[in-house]
Amino acid sequence: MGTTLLQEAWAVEVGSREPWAEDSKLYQPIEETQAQCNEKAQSLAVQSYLRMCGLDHVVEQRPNAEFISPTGSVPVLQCGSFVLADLDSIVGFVASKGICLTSNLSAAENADHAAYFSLVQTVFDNAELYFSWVVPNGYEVTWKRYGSVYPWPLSDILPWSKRRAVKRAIKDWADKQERDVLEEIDSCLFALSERLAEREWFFGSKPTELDALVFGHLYVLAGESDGTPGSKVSSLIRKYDNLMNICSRVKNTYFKGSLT
Amino acid sequence: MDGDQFFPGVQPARVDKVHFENVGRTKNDVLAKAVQTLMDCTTFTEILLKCAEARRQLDQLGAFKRIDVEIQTSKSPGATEHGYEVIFDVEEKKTISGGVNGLVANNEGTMVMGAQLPNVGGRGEFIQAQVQYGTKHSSGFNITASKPFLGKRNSRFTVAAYEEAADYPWNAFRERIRGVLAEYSFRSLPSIDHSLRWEGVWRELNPLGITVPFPVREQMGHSLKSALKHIMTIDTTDNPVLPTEGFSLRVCSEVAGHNLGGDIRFVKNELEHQMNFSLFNDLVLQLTANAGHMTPNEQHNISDKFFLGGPLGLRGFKLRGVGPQCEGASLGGTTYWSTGCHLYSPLPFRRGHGYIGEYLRLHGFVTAGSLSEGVDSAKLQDPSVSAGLGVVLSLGHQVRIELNYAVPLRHQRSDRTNSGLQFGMGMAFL
Repeated sequence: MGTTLLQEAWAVEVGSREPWAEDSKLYQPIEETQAQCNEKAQSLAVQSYLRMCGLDHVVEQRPNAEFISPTGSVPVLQCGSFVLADLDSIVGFVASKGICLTSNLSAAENADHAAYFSLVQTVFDNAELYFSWVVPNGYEVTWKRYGSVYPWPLSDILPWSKRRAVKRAIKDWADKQERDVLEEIDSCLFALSERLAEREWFFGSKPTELDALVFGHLYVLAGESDGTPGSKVSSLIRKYDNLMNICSRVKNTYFKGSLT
Repeated sequence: MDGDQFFPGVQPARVDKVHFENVGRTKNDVLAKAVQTLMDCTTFTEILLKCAEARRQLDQLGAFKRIDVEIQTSKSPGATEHGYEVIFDVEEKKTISGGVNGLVANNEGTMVMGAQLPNVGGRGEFIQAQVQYGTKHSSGFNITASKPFLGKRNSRFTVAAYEEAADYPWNAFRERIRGVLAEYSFRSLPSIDHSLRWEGVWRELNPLGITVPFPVREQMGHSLKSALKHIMTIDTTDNPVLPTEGFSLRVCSEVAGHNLGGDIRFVKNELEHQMNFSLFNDLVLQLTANAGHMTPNEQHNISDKFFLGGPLGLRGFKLRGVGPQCEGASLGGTTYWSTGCHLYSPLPFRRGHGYIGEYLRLHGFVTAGSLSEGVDSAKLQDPSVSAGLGVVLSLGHQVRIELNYAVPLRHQRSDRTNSGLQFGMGMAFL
């Protein structure tokens, strides 16, 4: 999307001249009744990233968060007059204000970091969308939640059209078998677990946006209740003790008691 | 008509026979209903009046291209003494018609392609489909089915389904609406028309461009409006674009949500009034006054609100440029009033009189108005005012085109003014 790139460039260019707005807001769908797994994960990732950077923000729940967003993805960050979505755009925007969590890394580490970041983003985003929108029993739940904020007949039409849009967006993932998707997740988890080994954080002595991203996805996926398609993923994650540990480390350090 | 004693008006007369010629598809029962009253006539004047009324009713069916009425003395074998025969010679419309038209509204030209099945059931019903494309990224289609009911009330029942999409750069959003409506329209007293309709509309708002102000951005998304609407119109003006006398009044009331469904909820009332006075030397004085109010703080969004300002409205201001604004986008309001005073004069050289002169006027005007969110009496008592001079062109007495030089005399700090030349075209004007 041309306009989105332009918007990002503009926000980074102009935004750097202004300090972080104290009253910055993060808009996300209604957590309890509306938000999908991937939306919850991304929102949590952005929140933990902002907390790692020590940037003040308030989380607001809006049923139309998806439409407030310039890209269609949530959460949406409103900082002064700038509106941004997606963790990587937000990382770029924050960096323009001189705050960067990866500045201590070497060039090689930075490249590795970027590779892991994009691996996690691709695999977990697509897998979460797959379990919410493609798998029939997952869609049954998603359909109700996505339509819950609309009156009939929009409550039937909009989930249906969103499902078509998601299937188009995730391309070949939409045709995968559930077994293949679980395998992809497992190999991604394995790679992450290997990288983390016995370290406290993935790179360096301090947390980076990769830690925030991994925490967002794993915390939400591991919390999926039994019987849902996500519960199969949750049992995969529980096999990796060091990944479970980093989740509780982020939770205890940055969300003292504010997450259930 | 020989002899001085013959006064056809009061002569006893009766109609022996009514005859239709060249009727194909139209059903007998509606024809019989249209001419029913003719059979009760007792004088010749009555016959003439009833014939005119029957012709009007037949015309209202929309089934005929041409209707000629002939009245002859009855010559057939069973003729009575003062008997007459009435012959309606008609030409029915083709079974299918279609075409491409141009349309102008809101400073935008639109091409409309349509096809119609007139008189499809033989009782004046029609089905129509239209597709339209505008010069400014707007598009739309609609399918309409309508059925007239004969009688004094001119009543008609219409159902339609439609889809429209258009950019609103003054508000920084693009709107797509899809809707269905059912409408019953009728005439109560002579010249008072009513329309009673239900509308279910699915609206989708998307941001337009990259710098959309947050107060607009946060209203984006889908909403569903289910509303009952009553529109009353009285129009005694002699021309819709350049009237010289008469007045018009339009009162529109709308209730959305409440027990009707949807997630939009408000009560809205709007009044539009226009008066025309012919003065000496073909000068015409026109006074207009509009006002509207909708319940604030209920569930509605930017596409339900009132807007003010523009080349055919509150002149001297940008389109939708009066009232609450944010970073160059207008946010609209829930209460407004506006008024205008025009003095029209024909072109100074009278050579065009009767031809092009009929479609061109010079005018001087003063317009004023105010728009606020909620009933903000301080704002409503401090209007934005403009005055100017210009030329008005009437396109086929349907579309109004104006080229004005307008100057805002007073304005609010937030208003977006447009001092100088302003060009506008459309159907509605202040």
